Amino acid sequence: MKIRIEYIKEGEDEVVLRCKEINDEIVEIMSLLNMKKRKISGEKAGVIHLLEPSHIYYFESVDHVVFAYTEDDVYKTASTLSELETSLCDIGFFRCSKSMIINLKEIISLKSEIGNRIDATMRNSEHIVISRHYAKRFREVIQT
Amino acid sequence: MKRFLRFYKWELKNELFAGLYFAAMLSMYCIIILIHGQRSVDILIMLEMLLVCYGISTFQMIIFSDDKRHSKKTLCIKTGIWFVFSMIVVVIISIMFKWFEHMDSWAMWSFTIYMIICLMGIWIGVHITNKIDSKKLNHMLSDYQNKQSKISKEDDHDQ
Repeated sequence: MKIRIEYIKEGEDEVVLRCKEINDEIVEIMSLLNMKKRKISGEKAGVIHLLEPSHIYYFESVDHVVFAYTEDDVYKTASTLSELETSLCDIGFFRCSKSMIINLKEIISLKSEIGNRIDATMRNSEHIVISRHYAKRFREVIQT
Repeated sequence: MKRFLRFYKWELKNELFAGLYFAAMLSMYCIIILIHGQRSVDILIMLEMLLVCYGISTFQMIIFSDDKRHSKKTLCIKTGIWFVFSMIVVVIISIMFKWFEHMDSWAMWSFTIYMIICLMGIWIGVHITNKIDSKKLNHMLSDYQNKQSKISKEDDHDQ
């Protein structure tokens, strides 16, 4: 891939990606750029969508692929859980287990369970388990 | 090192439960002994009780340790299995090692009933504690979400 920088005297800074087709490399570059603007690029049925973090309920890693779950859809993202955790932790996202990051603003209720686990009910009625290894940190975060 | 620390934490919790059960078991046994006019407990019996309690607590830690979400039915089944296993172990060991030898028949029955009440008491205690904790968690969550939405509104206003 060639990288070319054009200096301009006027106008807004712009990043233009020229490609024959959207491949994994392009998706990764888009994710990196969107991370700065807090947008998450997600792929669904071959189409790239720009997702608002506030619309995402949780991220889940399955076989080293991270999926973003919104109210009605599931999108494949190019980011890793660690990258998402770092970039989204200050806007209400929390790593609740080895393979999940949850949007704290989309939780409607919590239930303390045996073994120091916490069951979180999301706005779409899904249940996410905050494992006991992350439960202590979770309590610290929601207490701040 | 991380794995060792995790195991260490798990084992500490396990021993805490074992200690609790042992204290309950021994105190009831001491009362029964006193009623029978004796004033000492065989050290071997105490050791057997400690091992039984450790076995019960280890089984408890294993059966309730996974991070999956369980339905109420699964939880009830697990609790039932834990309860039945614990009682069977206590009864079998007490008969095998003659904890109530030379004592009246009511001694073993009262001990068994006491252990049933203790285990049920622990279960009820854990259930009540979880309910109180859930209430506290939901309050904290509500405050957190209100704070976050205020911050978001301020950020939008600044932009």
